[in-house]
Amino acid sequence: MTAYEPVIGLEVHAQLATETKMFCGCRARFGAEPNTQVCPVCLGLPGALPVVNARAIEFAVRMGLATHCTIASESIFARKNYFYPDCPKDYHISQFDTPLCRDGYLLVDGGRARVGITLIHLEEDAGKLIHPGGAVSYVDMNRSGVPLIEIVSEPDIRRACDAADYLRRLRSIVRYLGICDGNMEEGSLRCDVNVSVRPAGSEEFGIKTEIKNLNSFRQVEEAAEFEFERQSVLLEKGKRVAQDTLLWNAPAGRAEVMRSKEQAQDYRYFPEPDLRVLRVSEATLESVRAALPELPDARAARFVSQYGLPEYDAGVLTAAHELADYYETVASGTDPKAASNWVMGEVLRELGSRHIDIGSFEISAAMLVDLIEAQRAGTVNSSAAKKVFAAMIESGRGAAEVIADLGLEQISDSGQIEAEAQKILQDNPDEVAKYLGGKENLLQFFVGQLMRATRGKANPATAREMLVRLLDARR
Amino acid sequence: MTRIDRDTIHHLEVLSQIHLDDEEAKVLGGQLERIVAFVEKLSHADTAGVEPTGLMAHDDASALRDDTPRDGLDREAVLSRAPDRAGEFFSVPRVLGGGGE
Amino acid sequence: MDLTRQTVATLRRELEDGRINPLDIVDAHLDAIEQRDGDVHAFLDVHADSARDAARRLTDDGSYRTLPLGGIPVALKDNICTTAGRTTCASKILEHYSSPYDATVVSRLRSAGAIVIGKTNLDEFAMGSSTENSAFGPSHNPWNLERAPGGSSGGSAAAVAAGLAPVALGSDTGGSIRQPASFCGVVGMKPTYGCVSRYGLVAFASSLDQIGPLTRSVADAARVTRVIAGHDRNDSTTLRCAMGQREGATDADADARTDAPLTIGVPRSFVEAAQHAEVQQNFDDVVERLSKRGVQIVNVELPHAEYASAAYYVVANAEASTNLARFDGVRYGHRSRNSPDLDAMYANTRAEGFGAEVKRRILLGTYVLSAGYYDAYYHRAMQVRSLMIRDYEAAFGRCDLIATPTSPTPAFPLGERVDDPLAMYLADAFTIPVSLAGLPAISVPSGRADDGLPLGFQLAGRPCDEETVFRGALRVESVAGFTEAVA
Repeated sequence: MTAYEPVIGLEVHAQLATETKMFCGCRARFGAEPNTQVCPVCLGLPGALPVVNARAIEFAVRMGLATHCTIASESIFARKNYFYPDCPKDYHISQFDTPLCRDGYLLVDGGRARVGITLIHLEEDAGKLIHPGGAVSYVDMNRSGVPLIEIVSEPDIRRACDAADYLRRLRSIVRYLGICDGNMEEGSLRCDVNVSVRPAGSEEFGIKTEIKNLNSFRQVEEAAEFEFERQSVLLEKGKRVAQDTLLWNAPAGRAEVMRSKEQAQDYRYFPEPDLRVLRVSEATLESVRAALPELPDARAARFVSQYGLPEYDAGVLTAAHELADYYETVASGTDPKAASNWVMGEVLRELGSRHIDIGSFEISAAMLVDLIEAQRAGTVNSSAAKKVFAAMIESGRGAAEVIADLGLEQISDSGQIEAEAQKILQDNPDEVAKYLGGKENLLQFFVGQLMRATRGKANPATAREMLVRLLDARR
Repeated sequence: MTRIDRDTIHHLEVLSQIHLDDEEAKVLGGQLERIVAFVEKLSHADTAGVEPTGLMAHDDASALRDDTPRDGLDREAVLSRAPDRAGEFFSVPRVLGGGGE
Repeated sequence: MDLTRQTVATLRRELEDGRINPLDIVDAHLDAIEQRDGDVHAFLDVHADSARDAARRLTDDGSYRTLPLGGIPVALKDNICTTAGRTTCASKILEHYSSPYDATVVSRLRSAGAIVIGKTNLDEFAMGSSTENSAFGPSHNPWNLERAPGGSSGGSAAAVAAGLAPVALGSDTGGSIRQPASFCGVVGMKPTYGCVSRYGLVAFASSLDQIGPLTRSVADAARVTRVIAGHDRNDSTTLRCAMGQREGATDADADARTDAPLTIGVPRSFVEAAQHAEVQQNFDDVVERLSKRGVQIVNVELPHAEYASAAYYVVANAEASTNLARFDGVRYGHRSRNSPDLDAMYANTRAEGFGAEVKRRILLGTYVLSAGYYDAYYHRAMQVRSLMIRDYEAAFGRCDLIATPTSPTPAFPLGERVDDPLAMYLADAFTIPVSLAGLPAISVPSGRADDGLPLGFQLAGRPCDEETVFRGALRVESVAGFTEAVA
């Protein structure tokens, strides 16, 4: 049985979050009433002409710089010709042999693997087709002309999980850069996966297939895994892999042939005569570079050195820049490690179970600081703090208010604790005898009883100390 | 002389989405052959090392647009021109499979 | 005074002096159209009501007195988008199409006080040299109704020649303003590529198309060009050229400098390729007269001009094949009925909607761009284009303008070339090289052939040097002594 390895590349399209479309002044907003964000240009009316959106260029350059690409000082647009109802001119303005950005890379798998980025180029999006059933399809041109960047990776990925990781990182970067909202459900981030298979250690490339219709990171990983297996089985049987385009069928968990690439379309690319050479000056490059925000990898490294966090935690906290911002605000108001525990623990748990993001979270960074500080000061113990956390979410009120309301102030007064402890020991003479006889793990039982008696408010450390002292005194 | 045969014409029909009946295809094929022979003259020009001119606008006039929204067309104005519409949409014969890009 | 036989300059003087008003001019032309256009068929649509309304409005508010084209009727080639009436491009596929927006040139004309009087006939989608490719019947040369008016702006040229409008706009890709101007004995000007906005011009070949005026005098052509020229933010290929920036400049400027020194280059070997004796004779005659008037004449070479037509037909049709892809029946225009599926709908719509010449050019354009042929044809054509540009640059090192006849022949008979596409393509031999290089060029009526048909003299200039082109054209106009008057 030969050992095979998958050779995986990704083609990602990201919709740029500009106000207007790539070649006209129509709004590029998602979700508007059908056919209300249209004009002669994006409708392909006779006599209309494209005019390039300067901000789209800036966004694309940002992405190129963030992924270590070479930015072309001169590039041209090209017409890609094909007929389709969502394509108003029946050609698509894109870039062909002169992409705006080339030869970059991205690190995946905790920095252990490097995936090359062949190119990033600019193009326009197509309109939307709706299939209501029956003999017709409907066309909505709102999306036609929205700016896209296409990011093509080298076939450097060797594991399905890395394919998903690459996509996650890309998404994180575009959101950090503020150029795309990275929403796979709404289609502002789209991904096709190319997979070929070869015997492990071989240098030759096998026939590759393309899988489309992937709508989540998990689907990307599953599809890559599926295709790796399917092709491996074929190769093992001595059969040939056909150069197909496949559609991922998520419910069925398999890829199905859409069309054979053997009858590839002839797009007849040629330079777009209605547009000028796209020039990016040194000055523009420098100003975009200077304005780049701190990117995820750099930020994570800084979290490790500045806050003393482990790499893994830094990675989790910096995956999304809003979360990283939240964390840093909290960390600046209290102990960074405590902040990290709380954000990675209670906060992320809450966000995850409710499927919301930090932007919709009821507890602001300042509010969380108050709670953490209250815990560090001993005002509440850790289990009470969790109750306060939950109550803050529900009521939207601050830590101090909730603690007072619920009467959860920790009891640290040794006199009070001693009194309660004595009562526990008096009420449980058998257990005391067993403890003194050697069953020292019964201490947990006494602590538990004390916590219960004080309705969780006793300072656990003090309670424990007190009980040990009192028990020892009875020897 | 380059032959423009039936297969070539058929291929061009598909790429350019124009249906030709057999008679038309034959006539057009013949005409195309003569026109191609005419433009074949290009192969006699000495173009070694010559940069192609693809784009004709060369001065420094700015050709980039501000990212500011401008009013587009009213939906009724647009859809009233459609050969077939369904409410707020253009309507076309059903699109099969994944076509296009 | 017959208001339908005057120059714009004369009409403007009459208007400014209060002897006539805009409605007088519009009515005179609408009457002429009614009387004469049945024979000429210059117009596809006449905007009688809106023209009269506009004339009344202008008369009422008096603004026409000071505007450069105030009260002047203008006919527009029907591939220029207007919100008024139809924009058919003389094609069945747009037979009922009306544009929801106006071309930039239309807005500029209106701001200058001009009145759109109607849309003129053309070869379908501007592809042709005689208007015989129009889906709605050809136009006829007013000098001899059995002759072609030229093309593709044949309707515009015929309208001006027949006194149906003092100004018409046409579009020129390989000669489509200049050649019909020559056939019809009027002035036709193609500005530098990028001088006039193409926004709203239904595209034929994007890197070649330009809109320009057809008029009765060179001074009129300069006046109109100034109105429509200039950078447009809706067209990325427009330049900041001199014509578009000469605010307040008047024709007096052009007149005043008529006697400044001028050198005209003649590409002898290229010109001698024209076989028609009368064309040669007239050309040499005009050159001689110019020389007697103090113009320096030098010989220049355009070594690659013999390849220009081949390069043009590759580039133009390649671009056209994609520019016309949008006519697919989805969003506007004709849609074929009863097609079993989407692909059939596309293929039948375009089969039904396009004429033979358009299909030919789309197929050729598709062919030269298709896989395996791009290098041999399109890439080479772009290289020949570079060579043409260099040839002209070298020639302009020794002269200010380059002269040739506009057309190798006078107007040919309607029906003579319809069945022979290649013969039709030869009509553009002198105009094409100029188009490839994107240069400004004008055709000035320069004489009559023995049978009375007009002949034209072409002057081409450096990029953005329309001023010198007009200056030279004024000289030609004055030495040629062409009396424009259709019998």
